[in-house]
Amino acid sequence: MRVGIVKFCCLACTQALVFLVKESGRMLSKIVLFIEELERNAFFMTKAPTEEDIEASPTLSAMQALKYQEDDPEELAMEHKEDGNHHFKKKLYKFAIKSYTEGLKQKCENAELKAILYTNRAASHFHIENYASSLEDAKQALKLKPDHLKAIYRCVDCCMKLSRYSEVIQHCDNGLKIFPEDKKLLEKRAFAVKEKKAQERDERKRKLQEKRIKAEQEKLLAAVKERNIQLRLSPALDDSKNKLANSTSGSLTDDDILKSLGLDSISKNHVILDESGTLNWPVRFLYPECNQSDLISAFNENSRFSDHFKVMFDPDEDIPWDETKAYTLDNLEIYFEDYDRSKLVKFNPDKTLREILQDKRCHVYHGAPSFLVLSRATPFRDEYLKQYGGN
Amino acid sequence: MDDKLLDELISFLAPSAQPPLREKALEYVVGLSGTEEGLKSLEPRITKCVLALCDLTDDLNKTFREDVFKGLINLSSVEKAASKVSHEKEIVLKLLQIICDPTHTCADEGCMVLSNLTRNSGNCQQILNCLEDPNIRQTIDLAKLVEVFCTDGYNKSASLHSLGSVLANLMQLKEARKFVLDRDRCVVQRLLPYTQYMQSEVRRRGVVTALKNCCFETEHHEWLLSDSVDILPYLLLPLAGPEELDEDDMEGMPEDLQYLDEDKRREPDPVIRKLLIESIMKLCSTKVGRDIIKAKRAYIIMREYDKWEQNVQVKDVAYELIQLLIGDDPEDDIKDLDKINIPAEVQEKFEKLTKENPRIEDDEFYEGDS
Repeated sequence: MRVGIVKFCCLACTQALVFLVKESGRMLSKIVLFIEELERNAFFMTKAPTEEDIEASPTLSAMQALKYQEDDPEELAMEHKEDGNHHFKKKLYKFAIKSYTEGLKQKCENAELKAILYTNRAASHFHIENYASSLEDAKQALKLKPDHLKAIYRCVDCCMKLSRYSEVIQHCDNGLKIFPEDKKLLEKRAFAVKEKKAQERDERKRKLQEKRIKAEQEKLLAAVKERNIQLRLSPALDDSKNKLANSTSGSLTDDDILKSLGLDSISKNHVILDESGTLNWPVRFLYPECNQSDLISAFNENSRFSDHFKVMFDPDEDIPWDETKAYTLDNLEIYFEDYDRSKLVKFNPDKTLREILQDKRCHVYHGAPSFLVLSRATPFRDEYLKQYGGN
Repeated sequence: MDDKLLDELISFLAPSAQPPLREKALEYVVGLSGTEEGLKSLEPRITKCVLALCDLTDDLNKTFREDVFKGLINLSSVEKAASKVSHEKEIVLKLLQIICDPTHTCADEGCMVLSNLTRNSGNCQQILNCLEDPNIRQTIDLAKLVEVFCTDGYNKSASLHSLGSVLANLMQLKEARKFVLDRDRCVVQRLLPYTQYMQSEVRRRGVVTALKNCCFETEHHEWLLSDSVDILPYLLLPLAGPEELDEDDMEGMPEDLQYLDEDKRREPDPVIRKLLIESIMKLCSTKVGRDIIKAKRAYIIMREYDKWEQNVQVKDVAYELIQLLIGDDPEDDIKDLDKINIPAEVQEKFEKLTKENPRIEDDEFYEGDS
């Protein structure tokens, strides 16, 4: 081989000289180009060629072809294996894979050698975390050489990385048939059995939790349906996406209801059914005059609005955004929006949340009932109501 | 039927006899072997009869062969015949080969015959000697039997469940237990999952019996309960039900016992349940075993089990185990026992433990049945 390469290098050199003579009469710029070309030439290369270089350069391809030209398939496969091992040692796993693949392409009948090529390629795949490919190769190797311990180990390690513990156990058992006292296989088997148990436990736990959540949701659905509360996916009527959700909650699918209650997301703020069978809603109060809002995260449906107002508008405490001191208990007015008629509906704050939610005109969307609060002591109230279409 | 006629009948079983004649003779012998009376009349020449049948196990006709095995199973249930046959190395070898032949259609029947042969521990020794015969062990040894038993779909036309009772029977012998409990190999570990093998009671019973016999080996308790084997959950899981347990109760419990499905069923066979509880009791007979079993919250499983068990006999055994699990151990560092007032209940426990403690006697071991 070596002689061949030297010969070839001389040839390349001669070619280069001929090229030079031919090109000598041409423009200087062409010579510059030529120098660049020269740098790509195998003979003048200062760095080891990469795979891409080889593909891009006809000369290098030719050199490679020459290297692998004259030997019989087995020797060729061996050459590729050596190349692969060389790359592997340098941790150039992708190149190693390419070499082993080339080796496997040879029409070599030597099962032992092929098994090694597969095993080595499996090792390369393993190092770049290509566990599925690695496993496939290791299995191929085992087909050719069932007692190839390295390949058995590789199968075991791949399945372990892939968390396929039943397969780990299977491979260990197969290996232990041949090497019944192999420490590594015994250890890995015990480890896999343990991991498998944990995995199965987690799966059971997950299923159980899923079931619990589902059961809770069903209870909640039943409670919401029973109260005949009007649910919406979004408030606007003309929203085409909302068409399906425009009708009463009776005609919404369970999934839509859950979605409209905000239970499909991970958000914690949604209606909760407590043990006594009472719904607790997240309720939003909006103060349009001051661009403010309050959120009661769990408003017991049997509580009255006035109960909450007493706390929220405690006369002994200042409300920072209420500069004119207009928002006092006596002055408060509370409304819900009738989206279908674009009207504000005023109601008595001594009513409970449940009573209001059962009003056909009141809709809940995004899972949180929201209410407008105005003060009858400010001119804003009249303006606002007028704007809204006159109440 | 007089003796002369019977002798003649048996002579027709010879491979050299005319096929139609042989078939008739076989039919007759199988018929006889199926009834108590018939067996009795065959008894004086039972060995001869079994040996004759053994020669016919290779017959090419499948139905004929099946009848031969039917007769063999019945006849080998007679101790005298079993004892004689187990001394016949060639026959034992042939049975072993049939069992380990992945294509043999009568492998199950072979297992049953061998199971009958191994009921008596004296015969077991013969079979074990056979398995250790240098000429035989190259192809078939105890490891091979375990492997055959534990390989799903090893024989497409035979389930090999009854091989479990063969293994259980062989575990009556210390030598066999020594092999199964070999720490450098993976043998007992492969048997464990079959305590939950719902498709076959025979297989479950065989395995649980084998495991119980292994639990007599007190010096292996710590190893059996360690991560290398982890025998406890396999004994407890069949006793565990679908009851939802508190997170606190599950703390420290083996993972296989946590969050069981709501359709989890307990072992339906009371005999197997009893064997399982007795196995755990055996493991409790050493301090190290008791400590591990307590730490792994076996009590919680047994507490729920006790509420469920209806069978009085099994419930009694379960109660005993529960007492062991909730009782406090005497302190280790008390040297001068005479100076200490031992409370009556502790005394009782001690006595019970002593009674339970394994002085291994072969007749204490359970045998599987076919």
